[in-house]
Amino acid sequence: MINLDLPEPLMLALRWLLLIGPICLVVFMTFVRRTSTRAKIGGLFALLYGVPVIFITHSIAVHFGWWRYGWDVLMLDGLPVDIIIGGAILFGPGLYFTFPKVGPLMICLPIIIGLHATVFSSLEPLVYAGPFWFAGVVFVFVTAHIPAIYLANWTAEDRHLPLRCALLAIMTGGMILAVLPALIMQAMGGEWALSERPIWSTIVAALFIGLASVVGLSANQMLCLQGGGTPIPLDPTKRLVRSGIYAYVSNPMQLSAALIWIILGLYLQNVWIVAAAGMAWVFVQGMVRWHHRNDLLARFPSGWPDYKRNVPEWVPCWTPWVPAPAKLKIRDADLWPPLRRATGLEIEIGNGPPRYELAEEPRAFTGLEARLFAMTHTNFAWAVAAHAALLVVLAVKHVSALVSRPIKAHP
Amino acid sequence: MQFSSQSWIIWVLSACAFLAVGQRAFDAIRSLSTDKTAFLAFPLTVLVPALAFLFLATRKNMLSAEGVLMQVGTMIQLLLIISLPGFALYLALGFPVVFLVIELFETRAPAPFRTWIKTRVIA
Repeated sequence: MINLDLPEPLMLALRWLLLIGPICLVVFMTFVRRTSTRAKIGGLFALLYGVPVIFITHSIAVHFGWWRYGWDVLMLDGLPVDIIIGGAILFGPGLYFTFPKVGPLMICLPIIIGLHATVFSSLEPLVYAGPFWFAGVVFVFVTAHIPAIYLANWTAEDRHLPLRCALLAIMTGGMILAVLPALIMQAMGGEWALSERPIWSTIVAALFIGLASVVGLSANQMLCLQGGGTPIPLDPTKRLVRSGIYAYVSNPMQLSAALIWIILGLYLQNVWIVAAAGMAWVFVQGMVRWHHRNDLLARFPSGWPDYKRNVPEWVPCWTPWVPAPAKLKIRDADLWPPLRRATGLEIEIGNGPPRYELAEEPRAFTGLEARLFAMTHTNFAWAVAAHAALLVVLAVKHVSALVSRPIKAHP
Repeated sequence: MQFSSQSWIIWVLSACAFLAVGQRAFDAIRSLSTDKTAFLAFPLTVLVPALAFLFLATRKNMLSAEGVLMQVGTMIQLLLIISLPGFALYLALGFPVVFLVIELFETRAPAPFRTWIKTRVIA
């Protein structure tokens, strides 16, 4: 390990370089490599994933004393925002555009060993290394930097859609639950002080946030499964999604975000975080509707207006709106009682494992998944419960398939 | 069909942004002899929004008239973020309001007023 005593002007320049350097690298590489639009979108997603995950992982590192930052400038919960953003740019679009054909692990390993392991403890007053700092660096790379570069790679090559959607869900969750509340409290006052709050209130808040998250996560899952795309319009769905949670409410992700901010604000006793739910409404009125008019209406001129007329934006309807009935083939003994009152579901009693088919969708589901999808036709409460189970069942199925057939960085 | 903003708007906003960046750069250099805060904050609070401004200013040929209005609205918001460092965080958090204003303008503003504005903003 190299222990240097670097002068302060050099440290000031280094702090500038940690943000300006990655930006220049991205701009330079975009021109030099003639990066494709798809690769640029991948780079943007990697940046969006990196910001909240780096923020959360560095917050954990600071909390456990693995390291801390000097210079009380542009700090957000003890973390320098410029370094967080610079890191997200470097370990996202920066390194992906520079080494587009190299696997993320092979990019990051030399940096961990060659750079962090040698000079990390020489960077005072920029950063003060504490005990276990190397384990902390590895933790940040494993959770934030390596997945970010994978996300860029997979998006550019349009591969591993379920994993991309999962990483984008982590990104959205991190933004909603960590970054935006932290920014709001920085601007308007308030503090997390999680350890000082009563245990019961933390458990109740976690349960309600979990419930609200199911609405948003299931929307993400439906866009992936039945839309064949991601929730972000830059990498849009190929088909119009009107089933599952989308049969009850047309803005499930924004509804989920608004509910989470209301619950989190009540838990933290911060009226400004509650008020952020209003910003979700503003976002829908200003940005989402514009996207609907200029993208969804243009791509689905017959299906979209029909859907918008029948499904509310914010307050979910109790029973689903189903334009064309789905089919469920199931044995009579396996038919759960709520399914007898399902809306828009043709039940065919027959032998064999349950099989669920949507009228407009190319793929069918069998077994437990089929029954859970059929449950989304009963009412909103059952639909949320079924989607909560589907999030686990389909994730386990996908991960077990990946374990038996590991991911390759390049085909 | 493609839409662009009037070039005079881009030039006026760009001139204002140039002056704001110059002022903030002067403040940053002056702060070096005291507490260094403005100097350390310069890349994130000035250069990043200025680059975003530059990116938007060089965009041509939007797919809709609304796109042009959003371009101009975002440039004005970025200009405010650069010019008013004390309010920069509030302005950044309030970014969706820019899009709401444009949506309300497109859907709720009286037609003569909308036409009058559009003929002056959109080329």
